[in-house]
Amino acid sequence: MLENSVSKQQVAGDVVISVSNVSKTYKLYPSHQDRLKEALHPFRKRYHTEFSALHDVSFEIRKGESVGILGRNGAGKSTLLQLIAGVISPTRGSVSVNGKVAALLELGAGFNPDLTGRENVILAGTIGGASDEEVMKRVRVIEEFADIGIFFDQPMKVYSSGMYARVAFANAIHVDPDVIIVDEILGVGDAKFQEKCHRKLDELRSRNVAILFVSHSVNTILAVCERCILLDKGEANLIGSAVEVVNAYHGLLYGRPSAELGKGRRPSADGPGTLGFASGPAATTSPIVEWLLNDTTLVDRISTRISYNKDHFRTGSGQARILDYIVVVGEETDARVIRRDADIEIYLKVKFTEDVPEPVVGLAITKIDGIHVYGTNSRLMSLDLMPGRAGQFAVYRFKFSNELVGGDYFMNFGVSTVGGNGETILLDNLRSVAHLVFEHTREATGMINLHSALEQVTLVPTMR
Amino acid sequence: MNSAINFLVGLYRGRRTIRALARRDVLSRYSGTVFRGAWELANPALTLLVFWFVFSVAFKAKGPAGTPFILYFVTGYLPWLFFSESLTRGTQGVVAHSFLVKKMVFASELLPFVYLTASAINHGLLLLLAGIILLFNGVAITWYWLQLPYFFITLCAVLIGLQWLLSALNVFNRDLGQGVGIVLNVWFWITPIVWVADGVVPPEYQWLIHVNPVAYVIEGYRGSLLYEQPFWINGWQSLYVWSLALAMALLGGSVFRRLKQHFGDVL
Repeated sequence: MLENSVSKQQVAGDVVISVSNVSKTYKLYPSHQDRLKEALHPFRKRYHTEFSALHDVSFEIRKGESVGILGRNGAGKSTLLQLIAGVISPTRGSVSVNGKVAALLELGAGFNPDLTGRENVILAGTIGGASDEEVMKRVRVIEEFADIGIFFDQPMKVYSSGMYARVAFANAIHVDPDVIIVDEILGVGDAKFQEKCHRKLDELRSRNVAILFVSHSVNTILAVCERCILLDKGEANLIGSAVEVVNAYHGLLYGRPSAELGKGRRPSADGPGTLGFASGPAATTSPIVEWLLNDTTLVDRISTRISYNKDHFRTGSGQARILDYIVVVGEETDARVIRRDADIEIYLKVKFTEDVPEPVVGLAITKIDGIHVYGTNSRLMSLDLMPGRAGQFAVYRFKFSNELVGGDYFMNFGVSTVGGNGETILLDNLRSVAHLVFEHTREATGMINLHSALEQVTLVPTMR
Repeated sequence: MNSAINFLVGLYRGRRTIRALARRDVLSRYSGTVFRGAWELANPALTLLVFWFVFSVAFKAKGPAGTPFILYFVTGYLPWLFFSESLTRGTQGVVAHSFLVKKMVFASELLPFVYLTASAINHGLLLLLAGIILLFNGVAITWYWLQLPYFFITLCAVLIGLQWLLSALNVFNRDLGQGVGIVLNVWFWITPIVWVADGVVPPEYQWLIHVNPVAYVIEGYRGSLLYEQPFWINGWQSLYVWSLALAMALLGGSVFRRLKQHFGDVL
């Protein structure tokens, strides 16, 4: 009775969390009276409707691993974390956790709002089974880490959500957990505290603590997690590397079924502001453009490009399709390595399989770990592209100069349109499709080369 | 049997938790507002005073064998107060600790022990007060006073199962708390606290007293403090009360265990 059947089963090897075929169904009652009626009904009449929050989810997490969970609102993320934390039990399947779990499930969990931060930390420590001396030692460390000053001795109900998160996080990491579960909560801390938390999480990971992380901030997920789980409508759609899952998540967020297309705003007529070189006679007479225009076979040639990255990820509803891209640096066509300070041209060839009244073309540059370095599109640049008709193709050209710090970068290309509610509908989106290597910049680190100047203004002798 | 041993081991492991939560409970009752600590003792003291005035001064009531009413009443009222307070607060236990039950792995089955520990401290303070009243009225301290822990533990044993049962059901239907209040009110008057069992209750209703475990404990307190009765004097009734406590613990424990997994969903 005291041992929690969910969390204390032994698991072999260095697997700390094992979730196998877990489903969770909630019974929803129209009202509290109906819950009571069902419990007391002599003929066991059913008053509830069932809601399946999780369906047949399986995965394993090992020591020292950090795993992110991504999914839209209501996808079942919190349910999954609660199951692992042992707060609720699965309807079917089993969850085994080998070790101590520290869970930061939501603001307000585990703390009594009437008690002060200090009292809550002491209470939590004692309930966790630590001795009095240990608890007192821990309280000092937690107070220092949380760093909320005199508020540590105020009732927690007067805390801001940031203070709350500070105390909750500080408390969770100082109870020597084997698994730490972080649900969104860090998002309310300020940048400095978040950075401190992430450093701490790194340290915990190096001490073989497994980290389970839920966030809607894709950059945070990419920075913290190696592996990711994508939940959609209660099912684990994809389990894989963080970059892969983040891409799929974006596909889930922005990829819409084609039925929603065509409901958009009225197509804008040709007029001022329309680009000249869309599909008619080219504005430039570059041989590449001519070649692109003359190749009317409409075959997808992306994979023949030198910079092509076969591990790219493609999403989109398919009303338009990117057929080809060419990176041009100076005289060099289909470049892979970009010289420093070079001017870069990127040509995109797009085929329309259906009428797209308002196409938007964009590109983005990301680092190898998914960090978004730069992005733009015709809509952001306030350019109205000519409507695309089914069967037509268009060639677009981006031009920019290389201001990047040397290293490996990925290019993303996309064609989208604007839906009826003003939302972006991805027609074709190629993530990490081109792998470009930018020449080493000896004088700068980071991502953007700001071309700093430095001079010594003066050197004052020490006053004695 | 195995699970019973596991359970006792778990209780032992949870002793720090029980202590911490009980300490927290007592502190929150005796601190905070300036007068709160005083109120905790003033309230029962005032009740004693009112009953003493009504029954002793107005009705000229006497305890058996000419015992002053106040002595008869205080020795019955204090264990009753412990019983009703533990049961009322214990029923709300799981709901009151929802901040722990909802989002954490928390051994909520420890909660009855938390309330028993916290109420025991109150009870101890009031017993000191009662001891002073007894000594002022010329009652001598005897070895029989050492029997009090036995009767106190008996009362706790009865309460544990009841608290498990009621606190678990209360999660699903919060009206239960109100119901417990009403039942306790009736229970107070059918228990020989302000009235004397012998000679007052018609023989056909005597069973009401015999089946009442609280009556057994109250008579035990009185026998120990006032009448120098050894605790084994009611052998069969002792056996009955302990069997009842065990049965309640089994019933309450199994209901609690079954409903516990739903707490997180319902709270």
